Amino acid sequence: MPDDNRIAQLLDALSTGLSQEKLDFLAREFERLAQDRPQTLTFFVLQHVCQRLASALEGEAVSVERFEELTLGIVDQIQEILHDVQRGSTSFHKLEELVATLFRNLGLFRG
Amino acid sequence: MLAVDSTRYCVSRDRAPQLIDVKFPSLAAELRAILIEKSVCHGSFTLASGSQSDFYVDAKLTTSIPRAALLVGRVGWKIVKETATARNVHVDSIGGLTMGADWMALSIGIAAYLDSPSSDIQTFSVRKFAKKHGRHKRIEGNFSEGQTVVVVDDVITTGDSTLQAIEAIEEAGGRVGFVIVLVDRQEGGRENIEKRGHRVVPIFTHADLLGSDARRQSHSAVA
Repeated sequence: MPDDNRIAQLLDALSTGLSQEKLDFLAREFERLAQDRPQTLTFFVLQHVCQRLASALEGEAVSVERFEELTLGIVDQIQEILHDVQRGSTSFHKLEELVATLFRNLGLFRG
Repeated sequence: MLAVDSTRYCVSRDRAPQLIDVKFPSLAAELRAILIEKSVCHGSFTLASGSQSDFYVDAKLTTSIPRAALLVGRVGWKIVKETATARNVHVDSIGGLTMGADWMALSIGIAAYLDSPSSDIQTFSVRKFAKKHGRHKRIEGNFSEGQTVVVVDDVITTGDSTLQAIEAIEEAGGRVGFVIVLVDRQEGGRENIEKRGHRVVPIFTHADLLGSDARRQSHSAVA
C-alpha cells in the first residue's frame, strides 16, 4: 500500500537520527500526510513538532551538547506514534507526551 | 551620507564608483577577511545536516554588514556576469532559500543595477514551506514562470537547502542557470547539486577560510 510505504520511509529516515535538514523534510512530509490521510490531528501535531524543533536549530551555531538537549527523546516518541499509525490506532496521550517533551527541551514550560 | 576614512579608502575612476580598501589586494580578499573575523566560529557543533564539525560559518553575521553586503554584491555580480557569458545564459532573476540567500541575492541585484541599470535583473526569495493561506506561494518577490535564475546560498554543506530552492523554482516553472555560494564547506554539497545538473560556483571554500591565519583570527563561539 502506498501510504504504508510513506510511513515506512519516514521511520527509515528517523532510524539514523535527527538533523535540522531532516526535521524540515519530516515537517513537509507530515504536512502532506495531514492533508491526505484520515489521522489529520496526529500528522498536524507531528508536523508542528518537527517545524518548531527545526526552527530552534536553524541559522545559529548549535553545540553538540545543545543539539542533544533539544532533540532528547523526540525520535523514540515519533517512532512510537508512527508505529501506532501503521497499526491503525491513535494515542492522544502519546501526542501529548511528545508536545510536552518538545516544550521541555525548548525550555518553554513556565511552571 | 556614508562616512569615509580618506586614509583607508580611495574612490576609483570607474563609471560606477566603488570604494576600495587599499589594505586589501581585491574586494574578494577584503570579504574573506570579514568572513574570517565575523562568521567563522570554532568549537564543537552539530550542523544542519546532522554531521558534527569543529567549525561553524554563520555567514549572516557577514552578509548583514553593509560594507560586506556591498562586497558580496560586487564579487557575486562579477561571477554572475562571467558565468552567464561562459554558459551563454540570460539571467532574469537571482534568489534562493530564505533566509541565508536573502541578503546575498539583494546585494548582487543592487550591484547588477549599479553596474548595468538596463540589465533589469530582479531578486526573489524561496520559502521553506508554502504560505498556508492565499495562493500558497513558495516564491516571493520577482520571479515568474519561464524565467532563468541564478540560485544563491550563503553556506553549503550537503547542499540540501540549495536543492530545496532549486526544486521549488523548477516546480514553479523556472529554469536554474547556475548556482553561486558564498562558502562551500567542501563536504559533498557541491557534488550533490552538480549531480542534478547544476553548475556550482563558490566564492570561497573551506580551504580559503580555514588556513592557519583564519584559525588564529577567528573567534570561539563555544566557551
